[in-house]
Amino acid sequence: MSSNPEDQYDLELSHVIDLYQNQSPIKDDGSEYFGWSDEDTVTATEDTSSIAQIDESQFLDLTTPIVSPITNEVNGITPTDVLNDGITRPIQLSDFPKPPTSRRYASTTQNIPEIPHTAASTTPSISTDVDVTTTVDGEIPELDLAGRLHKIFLENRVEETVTVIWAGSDNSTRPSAWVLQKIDEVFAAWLDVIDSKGKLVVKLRGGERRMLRASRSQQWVWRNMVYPGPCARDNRRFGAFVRLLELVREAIESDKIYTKRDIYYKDVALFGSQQTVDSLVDDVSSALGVPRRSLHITAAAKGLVCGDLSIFKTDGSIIDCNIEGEGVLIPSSADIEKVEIRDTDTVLIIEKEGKGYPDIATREFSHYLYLTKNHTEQYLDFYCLVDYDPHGLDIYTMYKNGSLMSRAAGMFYEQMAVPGLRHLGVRFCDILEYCSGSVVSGVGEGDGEEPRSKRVRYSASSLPPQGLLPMTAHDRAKAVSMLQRDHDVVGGGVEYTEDLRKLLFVGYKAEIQVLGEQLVRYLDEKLGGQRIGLAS
Amino acid sequence: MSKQYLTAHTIDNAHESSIYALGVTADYTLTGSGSSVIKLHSTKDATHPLVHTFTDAHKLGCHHIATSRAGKRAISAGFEGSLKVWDLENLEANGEIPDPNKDGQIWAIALSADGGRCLTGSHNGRIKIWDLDKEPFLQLRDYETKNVFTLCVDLSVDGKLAASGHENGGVYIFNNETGRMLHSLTGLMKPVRGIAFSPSGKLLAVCGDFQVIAIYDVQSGEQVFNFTGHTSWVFSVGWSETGQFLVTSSFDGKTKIWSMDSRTCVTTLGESNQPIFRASFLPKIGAGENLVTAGTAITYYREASGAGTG
Repeated sequence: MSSNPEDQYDLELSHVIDLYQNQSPIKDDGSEYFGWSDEDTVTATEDTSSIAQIDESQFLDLTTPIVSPITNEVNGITPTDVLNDGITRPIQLSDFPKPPTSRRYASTTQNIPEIPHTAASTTPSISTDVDVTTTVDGEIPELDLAGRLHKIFLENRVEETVTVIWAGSDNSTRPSAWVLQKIDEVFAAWLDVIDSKGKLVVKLRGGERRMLRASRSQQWVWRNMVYPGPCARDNRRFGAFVRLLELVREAIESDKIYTKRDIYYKDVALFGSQQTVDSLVDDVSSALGVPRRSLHITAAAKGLVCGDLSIFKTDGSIIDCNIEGEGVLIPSSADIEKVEIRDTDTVLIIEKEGKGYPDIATREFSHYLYLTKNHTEQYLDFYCLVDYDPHGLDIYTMYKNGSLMSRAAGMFYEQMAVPGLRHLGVRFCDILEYCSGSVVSGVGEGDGEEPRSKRVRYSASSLPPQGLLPMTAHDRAKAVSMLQRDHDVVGGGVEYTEDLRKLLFVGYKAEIQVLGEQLVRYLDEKLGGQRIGLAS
Repeated sequence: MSKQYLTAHTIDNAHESSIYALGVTADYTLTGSGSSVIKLHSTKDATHPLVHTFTDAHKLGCHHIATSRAGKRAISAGFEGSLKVWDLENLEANGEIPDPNKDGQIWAIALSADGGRCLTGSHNGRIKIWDLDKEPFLQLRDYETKNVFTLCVDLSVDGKLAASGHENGGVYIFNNETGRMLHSLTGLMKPVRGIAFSPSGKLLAVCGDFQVIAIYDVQSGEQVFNFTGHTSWVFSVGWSETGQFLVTSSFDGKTKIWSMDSRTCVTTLGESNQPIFRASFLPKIGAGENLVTAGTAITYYREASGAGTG
């Protein structure tokens, strides 16, 4: 049809934009949506060196006329559709960037049963805006999309294919830094490709293919990520892939753990379905040969609950959480029918070592408990025990308010917050008592605690005691950014900002371990004191 | 030989949050806290009324204030990382050293006696001297140390010497005329939170988490003697105008006055156990040595036996 180069660039441009605009309705089933089938990407090979020889016929060669039988076979989309898409809606530079509209996403979000209540379907456009913004503002310079596209649009293309192959043999001991490096390789390659207007193919090696017939050659299942792809869904698929890598990078760098569900919520519009995220995560982890935890992703809930209550799940099973000394994994809220609270009047949320930021299931569960009465028709009291450091205070805020990110997006905020949550500790005054080394009596913040003169004090010579650590540059930057955030978003005066300043000024932080063996007594006194405070 | 002090005046609600920064001139007592304002209370007036407020000084709060000996200029450092210069004659802002970058962020500050130059210590241990007389402020000296957080700095009265105290216990003395490091004093091992040249410039007082007040001879770099008696982290140290006395304040709420002549603690003040972040002698009026402390409140103390009791 058209051999005019300009038309081709129109076509390319529309593909890339589709990546962010999702012109076509998204189906719930991720594999169908991304058109992943094993058949079209299987490569038989004797050794890994031949993997690099990519069968170019798999991909639409954009320098040749668009209508080609290869395209037909591979994608199952009529070339005319592809072409029409480009021709009937040529992208004008003035059109870009085109603000996404909520209409496009409505069908997607409504189809997803996991989204709690109705907030999601009413406000998807906001989340999309946030997505685009964060992506563009991210560290990766290639996301200055408009500028790049402009270049692609105006200049002639050099047909060059860059191939990145991830075929790591299984090795669970690879450090996260190695994963970061592999991710950066892809980003770097993508940058190069955008600069040189070439094509990027990321080949992900999956599991070994089970062949019915005996064969000496190893058969691997390969997933190919192509950019720019022959049609819109390839670009969406590539976009989801890149977004996932970006999130993994973020998780590793900030030392957070995301669940697959967290990842999905980060970008509901782009991923389309939980299943998409699940299979992408599995693909990446098997291609790199590392377990999911090396990507800082966990499959399921990591929060534990222990107490006199039972969780009735939608599948009919009942979890009794009253097992001495053992926590029960908190299931996803979608799986919970109801929770029965028996002889319990207080909930204590504890930041447990190594668990880091709470996942969505844990926060949703906390919120659920917050709305639930116990057997005497009383609502529960909520307290939070976190490390005395910027991250601990951030975790407390996350439970109390929902994260600021989701609040900004207007999403899920109500569904995950525990507004009545109180900050039990570790407080600045606890440092004064436990760490300054001197005989200090009965220090509190005037909340009616009894004197603690009976306690063993740290001797003056043993400074700093266990649990007390110097603030790192990272801690300081985090504290300042939290002060800044509270100043900008809330207008200052958040209850813990004073603690943040004291962290910065004094220069020490404290883990819960600072309380050591006195933790139980600490809780006794703090909670006992607080109850008296409540009654009065 | 102990001294008797009376609480002359307490301003409980000067700031909504803890007071981290204190600067004193003959006219004003400047305080900075977690709020964005710097408050100026009268130093002379016995009731110490609030006479001025610098609004929007540091949006995330202010952690250090320094004043010139002449009392015409003050500088302040904020949690957001910038340094601001204040004209105390016209009570107005007089320039700013903006947040340079993440690592080079200013923490500790000091001002020369005439107010013309300031000394800054940053997160990465860089110690710099700036000319404040016209904007943009010129950087006159840039001393490199061991890339350890700077908790405190001071300039000698004649401006020829600079000193810095660091989170790892490092103490450095610089000769500003040659631009060289005069002494690197090690051995304290714990965060150094307060550092001050004596009025004569011959001695250097150093305090911190080691709970001892160490006195160094500036020329030789030798530790001359120690004051012991604090039982918690010592946050600030300051000299009286004559150099006869030192005032120190600590994390456990104690303020102590030390005599250089008898080499003893002559007074311990502090009823509460809330941290006292700063303590300073007031510019001398009459015979007595009066002082002010800042922590949760601003408290003025008056020497009972002195002629300045008024």
